[in-house]
Amino acid sequence: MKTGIRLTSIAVSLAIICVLLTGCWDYKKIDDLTLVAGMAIDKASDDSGYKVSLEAIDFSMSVQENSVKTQIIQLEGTTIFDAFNKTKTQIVKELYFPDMQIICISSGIASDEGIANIIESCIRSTDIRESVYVIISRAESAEKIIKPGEGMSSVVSAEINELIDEIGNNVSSGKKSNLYKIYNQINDSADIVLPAFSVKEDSPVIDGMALIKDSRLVGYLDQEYAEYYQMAADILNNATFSFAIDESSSFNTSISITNNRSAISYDIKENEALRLSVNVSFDASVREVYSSADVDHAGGFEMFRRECEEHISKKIYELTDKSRQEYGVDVLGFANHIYRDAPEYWEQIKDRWETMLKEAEIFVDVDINFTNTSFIS
Amino acid sequence: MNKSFITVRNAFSVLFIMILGNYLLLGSPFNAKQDSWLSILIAFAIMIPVGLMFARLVKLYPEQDIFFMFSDAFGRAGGIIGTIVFSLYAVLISAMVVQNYARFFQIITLWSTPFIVIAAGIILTAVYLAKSGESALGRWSLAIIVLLFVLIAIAFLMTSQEYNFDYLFPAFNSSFENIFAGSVSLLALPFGDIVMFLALGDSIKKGNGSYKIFMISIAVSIMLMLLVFFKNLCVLGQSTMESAVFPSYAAARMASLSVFFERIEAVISYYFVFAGITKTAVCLIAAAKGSARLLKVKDYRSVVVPVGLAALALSMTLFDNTTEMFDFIRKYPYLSLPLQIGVPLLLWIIAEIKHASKRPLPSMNKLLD
Amino acid sequence: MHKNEKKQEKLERKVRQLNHGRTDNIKLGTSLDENKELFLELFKNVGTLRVRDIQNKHGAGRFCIFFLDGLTNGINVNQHVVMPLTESDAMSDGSICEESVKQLLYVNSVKRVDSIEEIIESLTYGDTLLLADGIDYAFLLETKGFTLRAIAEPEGENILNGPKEGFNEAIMTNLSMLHRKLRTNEFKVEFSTLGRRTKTKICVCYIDSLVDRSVLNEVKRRLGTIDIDGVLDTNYIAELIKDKKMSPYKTVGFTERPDVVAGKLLEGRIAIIVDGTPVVLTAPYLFIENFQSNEDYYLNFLYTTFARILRIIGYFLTVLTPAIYISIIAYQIEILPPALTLNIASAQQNVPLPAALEAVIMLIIFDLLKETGVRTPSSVGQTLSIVGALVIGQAAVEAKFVSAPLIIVVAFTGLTNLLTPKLNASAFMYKYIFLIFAGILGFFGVIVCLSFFIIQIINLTSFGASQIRLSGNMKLQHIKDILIRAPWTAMKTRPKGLSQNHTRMARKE
Repeated sequence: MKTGIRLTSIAVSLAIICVLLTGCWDYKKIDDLTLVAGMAIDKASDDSGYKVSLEAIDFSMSVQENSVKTQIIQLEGTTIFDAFNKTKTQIVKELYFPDMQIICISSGIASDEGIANIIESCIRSTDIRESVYVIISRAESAEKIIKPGEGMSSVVSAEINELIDEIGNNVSSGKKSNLYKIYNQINDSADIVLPAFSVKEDSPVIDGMALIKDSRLVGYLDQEYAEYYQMAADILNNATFSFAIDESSSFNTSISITNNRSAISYDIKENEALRLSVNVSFDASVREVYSSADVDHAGGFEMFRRECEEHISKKIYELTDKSRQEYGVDVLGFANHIYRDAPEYWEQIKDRWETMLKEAEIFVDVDINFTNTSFIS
Repeated sequence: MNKSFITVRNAFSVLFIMILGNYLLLGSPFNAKQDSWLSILIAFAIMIPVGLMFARLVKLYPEQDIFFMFSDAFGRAGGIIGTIVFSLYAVLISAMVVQNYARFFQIITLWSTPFIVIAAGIILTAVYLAKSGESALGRWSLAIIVLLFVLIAIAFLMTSQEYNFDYLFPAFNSSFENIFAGSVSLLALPFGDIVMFLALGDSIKKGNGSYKIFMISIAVSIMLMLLVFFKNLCVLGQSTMESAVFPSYAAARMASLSVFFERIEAVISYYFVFAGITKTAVCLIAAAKGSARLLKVKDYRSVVVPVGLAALALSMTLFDNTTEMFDFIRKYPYLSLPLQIGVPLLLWIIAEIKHASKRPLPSMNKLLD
Repeated sequence: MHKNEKKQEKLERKVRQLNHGRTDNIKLGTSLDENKELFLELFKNVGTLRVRDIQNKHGAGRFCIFFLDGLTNGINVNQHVVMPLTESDAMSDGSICEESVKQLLYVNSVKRVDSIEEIIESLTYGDTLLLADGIDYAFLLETKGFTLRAIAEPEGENILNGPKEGFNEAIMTNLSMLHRKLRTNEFKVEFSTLGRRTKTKICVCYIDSLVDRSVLNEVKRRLGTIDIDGVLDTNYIAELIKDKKMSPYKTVGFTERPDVVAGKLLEGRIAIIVDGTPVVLTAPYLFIENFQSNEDYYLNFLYTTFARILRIIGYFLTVLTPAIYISIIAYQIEILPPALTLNIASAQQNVPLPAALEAVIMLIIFDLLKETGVRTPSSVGQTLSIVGALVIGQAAVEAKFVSAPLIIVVAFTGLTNLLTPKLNASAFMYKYIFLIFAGILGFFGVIVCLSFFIIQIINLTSFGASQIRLSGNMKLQHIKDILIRAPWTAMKTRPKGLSQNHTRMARKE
């Protein structure tokens, strides 16, 4: 018993001494960290690397002014992580990435060298979460997107994050993508659609969708197609949107959409031509009607419904056609669908896919089920 | 010292945590990509007879551990050789398990902590658990297993928003060699270590309990493996899953219930400490029992501490970094399959022969009447 | 002179021998005066000793009674001892014998004694010693009458609904309360004495047909090995018969309430009652009893189930909360939602110390305050607690010595500690240990320490049986009283493993 106590006390005191002398190795003092909320990647000024701008939360200023204050840290380096190392030469505390929500890539980098390198190095890092959102900047530089404007008193990246989170519940933009999903798509050589942002009155706004092919930026789809894209790509959940059935009139019709379902399929015709179809169906209720048809009775309502369907399918066809003809991009993911459905067939047509896409016949079918007409008939 | 017994359900928990803990950490081999679930099923098919064999061994030698089986089947010299080999193998496995788990924790948060601190944390607790006896081990596993189920359920629910069933297709696209290679890896790593459990054989009461223990734990763990595999695949997608070193952890990173619960993967992953401690404790008990038998020490509990320290020392030098570790795991089947399945097979055959010869032949008796 | 001195020396020698415990050759003589002198010498300087010489009216003989003032019932002594001895003419023929004396005295217990040790023991407990001239033995008369504390509700264990009796310091009163609750002859009471100088009476109680024999034998064996100077309280015994001497966890239960003891006896447990203290021990002890309170049985079962689960959670919270707080803000800040991160970071801004050190200091200060609160007289206590809690805490935050979230964490820890007062010792120690591990290794350290903690609890035994029964064969009847408190209609059997006889309630046909 005595030796047991002696040995235990020796062991315990040794352990305590070791720990006290060598310290806690990974203890992070929270105020020694710089919390990075968002990252913007541009080309370096001398064109030989990256200029990384980080939106970091400044705690000391926040305490003084009693609201959240952010600062922009600018670093340059040959690679992104080389740039991070440069913080050691500046008066910046240790960068803390796990809270980062946005990675903004400038259009310059995206179109010139593509996003593959950046995405891969980010995925490889354990600090950066795989669920960060990636956006493309349509403004002059990516930095402008995350730079807080004069009147802004909150974290810009958090606001952008919220905007993106809301995609699907409003008709703001195309598609939200996490880092790892983009990584998957790059490895599958699929075409990627990312939200594009620009700056309006010092605050970031969603401005269409960026189309990426072979991990390079090839073009944009404008904001007008945003809602139709969402419908077709099965991203829309519930939203209200307005459109003009009759282009000459200056009034719009508004409907509320719920239960949107969309399915894409393909058919192989006799002469090996493809027929790609998109079937969209949703429930809707009317908010405002400005149509030539008289909606108060059934016949007129039926006509109104058909007008809506035609309009929407026309728009969906336009966006698909535009992206495939002008940019060679398969926005709705037909390639992926064919691969998953019939991998042997995909192996055959893989090399000729682009031409086949351009020559394929696209068929859009929209089916609206009007449930009610709001409060007044 | 009273002999401590493990009840059937406790033993089931021990085995279950051993198998599933390792699987949750390292994931299944992704040779066959989205068809890897077939690897799991094939491994299950192979494990059924192996599990039955283990159970039969335990039944043939009621309340005896594997070292007794060695000396009974192979004679005195063979028994000593078998004991030495098995104990060394047990120490190796404990060191490897500690390396697996400790590297994991080092990568997630404890970057600069010296490796020995993390390894010592796991091993010292495992030593304490081993010293407390098999019955304490059983009760501890039962307490832990509830937490395991809860955490798996939470992980399922929280990532449910991110499921994308597209990732499952195209199905049945991989070659049979790939699928089979995956099964072999699975057999080696989580399943093979079941053989360690035979060293605890003397704590299972006589009777058919051993069948229930082995078969039910194998079956239930296969089911959960399949579920976890599908969950990971649906959340992560093929490329990410291939490149992710710790797939369940990566999938848990996507978990989000609302702003508040977004980044809890760290908390879920720390569960692995419990699993690591359990498995290390089982291996340490096996090694300690073997050493005790060799050194003619009556109670293995006095030998556990030196064995644990030996395992600690070994785990420090075993691998230098994670790349080496995964490389070894890839080559591991060559070492483990002969030891984990071949040797018990031999034991079983000899034991069956001996058992059959002991039974009086009924027809002879009738003739003599 | 010489003769007197010699006599005095001889007497002193005798007394010294007696005091050192060698009583074999010291006997009572037949001469009343010699015996009287012996006892006067033994009890020299004992101011409470009273001696009364009695001379029988009818010449039956001379008697002498000894008793200690304050311990005896004066009326009893006067009316039932002195008067009959003085007045009676039964022994006028000069033959004093046991039967005649017994017939004479109106006392409910007259015992003949030869050993001086027994005389000393009984005299100091309130019996009266009767010496008679011409016989070489003495009589001990039952005349106990001392004042005791009134039966009141024990302060530490008060409840809302239910019996409010509590034990007091006399073993007989305590046993009387138990007898009234367990009116069966199977309720066995076995007396013995412990303590060389205090000669404290203790008794072991159990219900014969329910108790587990092996545990009973173990208890008796351990009690037999106690060799100590004095036993003043049950805690002395508790620590001497503990399973593992250094563990902070209890292996016997303590209680001051007779209804609790009766309930435990009915479950097949054993009670040890010690004279001079109202605290009674119960053995064996299950870990879950730390979380049970007897009023669970007097209140509605849904509420008490919830309360019991809350207590268990509270125990884990009290040891884990500071550790988890430190792990989160020092190792895994990303767990917190951004708004909370901001608040905590701003609170940490100007605080000089690192969070772990702060936490340790605040915990120590909080324990200090709690200790002070326990010991201050009630008049000062109120003001002091308000000053301590509000002012010091508030001022410390404003002076930026500590950060506000930490105060909340520490206060929460202290509050949850009060849920399980029985586990104070272990909670107190483990709080700090968990905190240190968390400070060094973050969540990993917490979980390693938690494993140690759980393994230690699993390893707890009480008199040979383990305190936590997790055999995995969970039938509903076994957990009905552990995690939840099932309604009485559902508790058909006794808790497993405690007694031989399982049926508590008859099964309805």
